[in-house]
Amino acid sequence: MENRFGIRKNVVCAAACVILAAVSSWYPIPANAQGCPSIPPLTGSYFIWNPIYVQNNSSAGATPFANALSSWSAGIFGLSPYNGGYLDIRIYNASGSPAWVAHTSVYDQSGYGCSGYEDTCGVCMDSSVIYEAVIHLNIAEIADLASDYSKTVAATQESVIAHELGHAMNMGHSPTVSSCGSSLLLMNPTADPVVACDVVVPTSCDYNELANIYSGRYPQSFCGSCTEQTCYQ
Amino acid sequence: MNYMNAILVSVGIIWQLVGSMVMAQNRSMGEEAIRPFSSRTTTITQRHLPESLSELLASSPDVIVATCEGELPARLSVRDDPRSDLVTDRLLRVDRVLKGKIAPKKQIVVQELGGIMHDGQRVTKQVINGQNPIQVRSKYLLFLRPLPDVTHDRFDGNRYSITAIWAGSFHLINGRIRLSDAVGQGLRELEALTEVEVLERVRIAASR
Repeated sequence: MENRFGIRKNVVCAAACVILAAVSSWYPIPANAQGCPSIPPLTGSYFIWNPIYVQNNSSAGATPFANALSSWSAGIFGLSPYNGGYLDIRIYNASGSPAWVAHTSVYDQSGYGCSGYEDTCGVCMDSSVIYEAVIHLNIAEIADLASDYSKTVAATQESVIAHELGHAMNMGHSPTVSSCGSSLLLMNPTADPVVACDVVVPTSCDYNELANIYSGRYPQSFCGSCTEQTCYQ
Repeated sequence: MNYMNAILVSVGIIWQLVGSMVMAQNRSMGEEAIRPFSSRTTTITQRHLPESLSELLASSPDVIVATCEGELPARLSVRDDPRSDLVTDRLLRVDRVLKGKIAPKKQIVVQELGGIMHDGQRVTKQVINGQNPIQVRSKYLLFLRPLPDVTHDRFDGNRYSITAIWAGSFHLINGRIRLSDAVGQGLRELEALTEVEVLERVRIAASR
């Protein structure tokens, strides 16, 4: 009896495993309510103001830069070129290791003058709030990438800048996809398929995921500097 | 004397006002502020992520098993450029060579992105998203590439980087392997194997 029960249990378990494996191979990427592959937030830090101002100090072309900014305009943020006022995202060249195409560093409020105090909207200036973001572009690697897939340098720069702007707004990477299709998002972890498949602007899923990441914390107009109200007990 | 005091007090007040204006800031106006502490999280976009041992092997001139004996202070990857990446050198003793020309028992340096830098007045921290940095007193299977960078220390010529930034770092712990969080699914499946099984697979593949 004990053995028979054990065998039955094993059979049921094996069947369940087969079904699970079949389902997971048929639909391997977890999807959200909109049917989009899920993109996690990059850090616990978010921009709390809108629009966001971006400065291009790199040698990437002015047109790819402008196109990349406007490509996010259907998202929840307005991205504008730096006009001498606030500056939220800076873009620089980097040579660095040839192993990477670009990277983005997000700085939170830790260590800045307002750290531990509320702003005039009552938001605590702590590690949950982005101070600024810095994008580094490996221009030589981007040129190689364009060449390897017979794409224009401008289109490749635009794609890479748009991807990094997603990181600067606190988007992580989407699940890895290596082939063209609707599952391949701008926020794919690897640049090769994104460039090869001409994903130059955010897809509708990229927009959806940005909105999901900022769900319940939609950024608003800048609230001004900090108050003297501390937010730590 | 009173005149001097008045000047000093005025200078003090102005200094405090300027200081509070600079300090009471939660959004950049384009200036490069010097901060006592800054923390950044960096996400790296690579062209391609290795998905198999054979891919890792093909991209790695040297493959070793080594134990981390120590860590050097983090430094800027580009001297005097505070915007450049932090890098941390870790000293490893080579236990076993599976591929390449590194001598067994030799001490080498593996340079990884990120770290915490103290320069007397400031503390700067950089975390690389998805990377599990090498830990002191831990053992690793490492897929390495020689770094040609010259930093004018005794490790020039013996400095290596991990293949695909984090993908080639296999933490050997309790008979199993642990990979960085950002590795691809193909490599992730190796975590189901034991340390012995993975090392044997690498040995066989490297000998082909």
